[in-house]
Amino acid sequence: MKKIAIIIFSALMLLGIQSCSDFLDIRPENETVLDDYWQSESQATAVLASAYRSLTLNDNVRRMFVWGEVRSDNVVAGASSESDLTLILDGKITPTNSYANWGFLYASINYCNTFLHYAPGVTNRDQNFSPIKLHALEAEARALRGLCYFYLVRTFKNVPLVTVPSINDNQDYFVGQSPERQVLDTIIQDLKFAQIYAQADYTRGVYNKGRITKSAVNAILADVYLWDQQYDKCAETCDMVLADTSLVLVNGEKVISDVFYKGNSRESIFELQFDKDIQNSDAINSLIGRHLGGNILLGMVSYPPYLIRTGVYCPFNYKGTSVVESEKDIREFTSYAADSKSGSGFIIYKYSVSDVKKSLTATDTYIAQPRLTSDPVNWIVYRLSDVILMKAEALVQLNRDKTDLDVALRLVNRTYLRSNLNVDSLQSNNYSDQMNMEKLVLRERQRELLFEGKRWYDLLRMARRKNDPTTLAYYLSSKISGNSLSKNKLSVMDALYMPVLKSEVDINSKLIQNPFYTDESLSNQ
Amino acid sequence: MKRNQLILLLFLLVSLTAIAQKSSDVIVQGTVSSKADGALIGVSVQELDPTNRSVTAAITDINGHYTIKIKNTSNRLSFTYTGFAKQIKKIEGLRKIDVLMLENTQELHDIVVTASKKHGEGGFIIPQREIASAMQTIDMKDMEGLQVSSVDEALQGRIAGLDIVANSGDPGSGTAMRIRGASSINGNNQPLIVVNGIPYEMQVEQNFDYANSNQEQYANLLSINPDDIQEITVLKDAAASAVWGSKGASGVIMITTKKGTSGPTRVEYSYRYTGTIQPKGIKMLNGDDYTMLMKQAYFNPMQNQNAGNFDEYNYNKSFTEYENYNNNTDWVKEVTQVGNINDHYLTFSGGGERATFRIAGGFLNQNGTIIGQKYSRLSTRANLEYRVSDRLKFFTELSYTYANNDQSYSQEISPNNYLGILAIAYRKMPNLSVYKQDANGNNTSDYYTVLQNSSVNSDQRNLFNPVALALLAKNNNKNFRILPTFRIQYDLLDPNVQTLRYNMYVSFDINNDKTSKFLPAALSNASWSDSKFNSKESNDNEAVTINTNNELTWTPKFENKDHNLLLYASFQTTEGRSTQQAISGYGSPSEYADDATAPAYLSGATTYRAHWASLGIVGRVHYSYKSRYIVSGTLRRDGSTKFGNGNKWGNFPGISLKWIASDEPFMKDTKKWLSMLALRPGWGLAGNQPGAEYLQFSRYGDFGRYIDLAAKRPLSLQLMGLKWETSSSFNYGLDLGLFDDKIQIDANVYTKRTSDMLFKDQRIPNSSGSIDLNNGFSTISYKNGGTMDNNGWEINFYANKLFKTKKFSMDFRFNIANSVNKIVQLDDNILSMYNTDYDYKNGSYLTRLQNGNSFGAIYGFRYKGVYRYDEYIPGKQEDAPVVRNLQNKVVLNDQGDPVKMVFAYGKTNQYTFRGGDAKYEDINHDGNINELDIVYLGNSNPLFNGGFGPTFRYENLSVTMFFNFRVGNKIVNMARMNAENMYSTNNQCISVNYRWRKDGDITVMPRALYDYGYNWLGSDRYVEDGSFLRFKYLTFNYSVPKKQLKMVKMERLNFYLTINNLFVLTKYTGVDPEVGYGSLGVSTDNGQTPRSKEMTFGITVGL
Repeated sequence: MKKIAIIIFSALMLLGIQSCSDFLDIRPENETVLDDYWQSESQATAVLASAYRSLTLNDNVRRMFVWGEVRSDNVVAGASSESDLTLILDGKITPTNSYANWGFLYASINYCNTFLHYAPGVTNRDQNFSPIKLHALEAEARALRGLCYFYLVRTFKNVPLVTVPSINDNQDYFVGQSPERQVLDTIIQDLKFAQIYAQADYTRGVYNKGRITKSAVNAILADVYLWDQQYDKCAETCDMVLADTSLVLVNGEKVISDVFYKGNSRESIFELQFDKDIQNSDAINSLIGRHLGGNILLGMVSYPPYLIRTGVYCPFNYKGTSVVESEKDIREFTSYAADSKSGSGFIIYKYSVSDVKKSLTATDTYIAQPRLTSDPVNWIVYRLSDVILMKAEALVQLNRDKTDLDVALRLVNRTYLRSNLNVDSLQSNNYSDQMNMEKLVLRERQRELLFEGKRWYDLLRMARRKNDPTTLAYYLSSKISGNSLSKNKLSVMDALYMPVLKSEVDINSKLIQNPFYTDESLSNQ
Repeated sequence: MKRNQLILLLFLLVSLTAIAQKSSDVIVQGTVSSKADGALIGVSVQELDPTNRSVTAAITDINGHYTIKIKNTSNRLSFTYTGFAKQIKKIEGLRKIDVLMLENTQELHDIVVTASKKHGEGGFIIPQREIASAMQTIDMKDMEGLQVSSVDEALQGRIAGLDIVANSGDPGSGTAMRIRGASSINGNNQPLIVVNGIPYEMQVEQNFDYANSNQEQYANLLSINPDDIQEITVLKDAAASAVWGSKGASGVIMITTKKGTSGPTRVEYSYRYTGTIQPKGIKMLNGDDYTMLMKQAYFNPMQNQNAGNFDEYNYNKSFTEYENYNNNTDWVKEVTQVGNINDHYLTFSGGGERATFRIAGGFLNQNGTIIGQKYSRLSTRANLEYRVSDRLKFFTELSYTYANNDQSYSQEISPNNYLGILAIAYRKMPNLSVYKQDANGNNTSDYYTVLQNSSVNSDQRNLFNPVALALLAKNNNKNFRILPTFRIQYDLLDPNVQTLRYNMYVSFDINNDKTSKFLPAALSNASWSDSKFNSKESNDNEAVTINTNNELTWTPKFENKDHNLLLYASFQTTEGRSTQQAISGYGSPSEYADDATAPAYLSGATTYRAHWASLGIVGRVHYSYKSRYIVSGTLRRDGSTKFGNGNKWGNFPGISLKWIASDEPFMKDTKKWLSMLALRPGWGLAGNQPGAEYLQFSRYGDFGRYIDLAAKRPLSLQLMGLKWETSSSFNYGLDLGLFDDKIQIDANVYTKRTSDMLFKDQRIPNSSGSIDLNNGFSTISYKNGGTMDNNGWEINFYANKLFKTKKFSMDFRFNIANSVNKIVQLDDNILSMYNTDYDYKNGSYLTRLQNGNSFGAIYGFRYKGVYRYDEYIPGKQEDAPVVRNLQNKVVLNDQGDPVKMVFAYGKTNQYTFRGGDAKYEDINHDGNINELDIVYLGNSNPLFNGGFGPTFRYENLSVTMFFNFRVGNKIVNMARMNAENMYSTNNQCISVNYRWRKDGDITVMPRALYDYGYNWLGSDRYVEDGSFLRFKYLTFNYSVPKKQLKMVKMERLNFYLTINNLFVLTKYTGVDPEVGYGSLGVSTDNGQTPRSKEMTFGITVGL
């Protein structure tokens, strides 16, 4: 009897031990683990959606704006702003500035990489997930990855090139920078793949603007070629976008309300979609401005007074040639509050208001309609006028014969005339040579794409062409207020790129800091 | 679920083996009588099986006759009747048994019982003297009469090698405990608590930070009433703690609660009253001095007369709020009070031959030393023991605790930075009034709150009125904890022959916690749309843990009595689940709708679920030869849910040897004075696991949506290579007993090496993309990387009745310990993560982890006083901020002017020193105070710590004193730094009245600079020696002599008086030199509520 009992006890204890591995396998109850994921098309699509979703995070939208706009001559300080932004406005960029943190874009890249790594395997598990569907989604992921790297390469020049997902602790995460050339080649490779497989039409309006379409791929690619000074390919790729008949320029007076407030307009190619519940456009609200209690509030930045005066570096009322450009340009009155200065600058209207209407009583007076903070606006990455002017810039650089400049001028006229009503076209005899045309295109891009995160890259392209930042420094001279020391900050090409975040260099010995910032005391002079 | 079925099966099995016996239908009858009374009515007749289990029973009738149906004729019959001796008769062939009962005449003889004390851990019971590992036991009898609200307080200073530091004097706040120093940098360094053999585990939240937070986690120890504790044993070395495997890596504290003893029911009631007073803290400025300081602080930076021109500082009668700003309020005095504790405790205990019980209940009510703090606790505990037979026993333990804690509301002044009431009182501007004052300066009944449109600095404007905060805001925590335990003990073999014992228990730990907070709008003057307007928060937490244990102990019988062997095996499981829900809202229309569930704007809602499990298999051997050569071995195999498949199991062996030399025949001569001499070498391995679950998975979680596409993303990196943190330790112990153990000394020397140390949240480059969107950095949640040593020694001395006369005796105890910690090797990227560059900010000390150095080192500048003059004039104004070379000659520039001393040359925050600024030693004489001038300033690890104290007894009066001390540790006195920096609008301490005001002033206190300058860089000015000697308590205990009690039919009547924390001898200038360990082991005094002085009067009545 007793022996039996002992045997049973021992058996039970053994049994207990055998079920141990089950007992010790605890899985999270509100999350899915990797082993159970990647079973269906919807799961794959959800990870791709994360890549889009992460781009709409404040951290990313802020960077798109700060890198592309805040460093340029387009904005000065507005209402109280965060210290890192102020430092950039003051030209005091150091490696400890949080805008030198590239990690948020790498998060989006990682979601793309994760998708590209696992999604092909899903076709075996989900019968409905056909290779055609897979390729279409892959095209989106690779185009997004290309777009992210394009932002990085323009901002930092040499960046780590990571194309595998971060999955576990056995991987080597200490990656050094790849040369700019290699990064650009990878971007072009990604976009060329996307060019083939991306959908031209999702048959759903909002997807056609909020997700990567064939035209979106071409717009990015054209921009990359322009940056890479492959002007013929740029013009060629722009033509593919211009051939898309669904893209039409909106009436000049309706641009503010249709393109920037309502969003997903006919001239939009790719815009990040925001909504009230998941991701409001907080970054835009705080940076550019918003409406509260009947007033339109100044954002962290504002339009600078030095661009109001007439002068060689002012976009509106430009009297550089025999004609006066943009004398009564709708964009001057609708992009910012031209008639009232508040603080150190002018309140920005573009994105922050729902509409700007011409006053019925007073001439040349415009009245802004407030936009509620809870009314989200989308952030436009590419729109038709951008591509039109990209092509113009490419043709001016090509300058193979007179036709190139003529076509370029015609392209500039497309965006110019819709905002300058009852005014003659710009005449080619006023912009006879390449240099004048180059400046015209740059001015027109400034007028058209104010506050859209494009200006700094426009100026940087100009400097890169000459491999000399002198001209760029002239454009910024009013902002840096003549201080000779400050001008030194724009004296070398390296100074035009952002430093690598200090803590990133500290932990990753393979990274090389942008030489301009290696000695803080130098970059601080 | 599976586990529960298993338990059920075991239950059934045990009952089956007990019941399954052959039955036969034999009837026995007879009469029971006595010589004096004849036939006895109602005599209990029981059939007993060989294990004395009662199988059937009957009672004699009016004629003294009984009939009983016998199960087995080999059993015996027992006859019991009150007043008569029990009779036992064999049945065998008999069918009629008549019994003559004999009257119970008891004669007592002197009996000498020689028993040796046993030490038991669950089923593993060995003689105390054969213990071969390092452990120390405290009998709570020694503690009688002490006012301790928790166990940790009682242990403080009494165990060599156990360093306990109370976190603060707030009621319900916990302590930081370290057994033999910190062995882990990121992991849990708190020891495991085991109550009656059951690990008392905390459920730990995913992102719980062991290193930095210590409030309340150990407060659960509070739920054991010290009155219920019989003894506490602290396991110190790995050979002993290996039994608990990874849970015991930082040592084990084993608590045994009191049990019932058979005998008549005893009732005991005790009552204690305690008065508590908070010691005087730093003396702060009054309103007049404060406003003067502020005006200077605003003026000095830019020499601008208008900078400090605020109505609030100007004492201008035309200012509408004038009356509210012309006061001298001592905020600290306003928020403190004399606290008190009322503690009632009632115990019933007793039992008979088969069953014993002990039921206790207590009620404690405490008013804290800060106004508004209230704590009440109702606790009950029941221990029941039932002996079914000599071989089968059931036990149940049930404890229930309900605690209601009205804590102070902490104000969040910036994200995740909270200020308690006392901290606010130290900061609040003293010229402000507590109550709103009318035009004549009379107080009204409303509290005064700075108006939102006031021009006073926003730091002061937003700081709540601490008196109003204490009395109007709510921060209530209610905690229910129920711990039922069921145990069975069954001897598989006849215990008289040899022991093969099976023990099992199932224990539940059900813990419910509810915190509700409310901040009325009146405190902040906030508008109704502000998130501070009637803001409320509710947090519910529910956890259930189930522990099971099955163990077998076998003591084989040897013919040769020299051999003694004990074998033990056990299988333990723990499984628990918890859920947590929190909601917060604001904008409720009324101050009376203060629960978060009342309708209002909902600002946040979170839920959290956790599930944890662990398994352990333990084998132990204890062998002794001639009771003087002893080998003890342990092997534990621990299963963890936190590692991937390769590393799920960890093996933790331990072995210890003991040689009791004094028992050797050749030591016979010395036995007279050397009663014990034993050597105990031992070795063991312990492990530590990370504090978070699901690390071995790459988890995919929700990421909202994009347009209408649901978004999911990978949330974590899968940790495939994560291993157990292991520490291997050697312990060499010596036990010494002199003069028949009148003096007992045990000493231990140990070395402990922790390898594969776990590091939390290790940075990896952001280019990995696995960025935490909240803090902007990519991390790997845990990583092994590094080795650390902890070496030390400890001595424990106890003299029992050191002096003794007929009426007088004296005991003395003393312990001292030292632990030295050294980082042997750390991975480069771990070092570079902790060793960040100097941030050039006021108030920050440089911390460094360095191979070969110890943990807890403090680095900073050397403070040299204040520059007397602004301009350097040779011979006249020498003490000015100019650069001096190695020969102490002033350095001149090209123009022949002296070169000015600067801070952070070439940095964005470069600063040129002026007269009245703090003077830092320019170590390298380069004229630039920068990171190159930072030197080592000391270490937070004490050289040694310990305690001592005598007990005197005179007849029925005993007096116990106890002192504890720490020597040689450095503390960063952040509280003083904040009270002396004159950098903000916070109130400052009176020492700033000696500040530098004009050229030529000789002082060590720099000038006032609001938000400017570098007068409070991390320097030796605020690094202080934290050595102290504290008179921890003095207790008088008087028990009324038995003779006098007999008249009032009382068993026991004791009175006692305890004075806690009588005085502290220390050079430390802060309020209390007992400061816990902060991040990287540096002690930083942030000015918590100081430990209060307490006086307790108590009475115990036994019936």
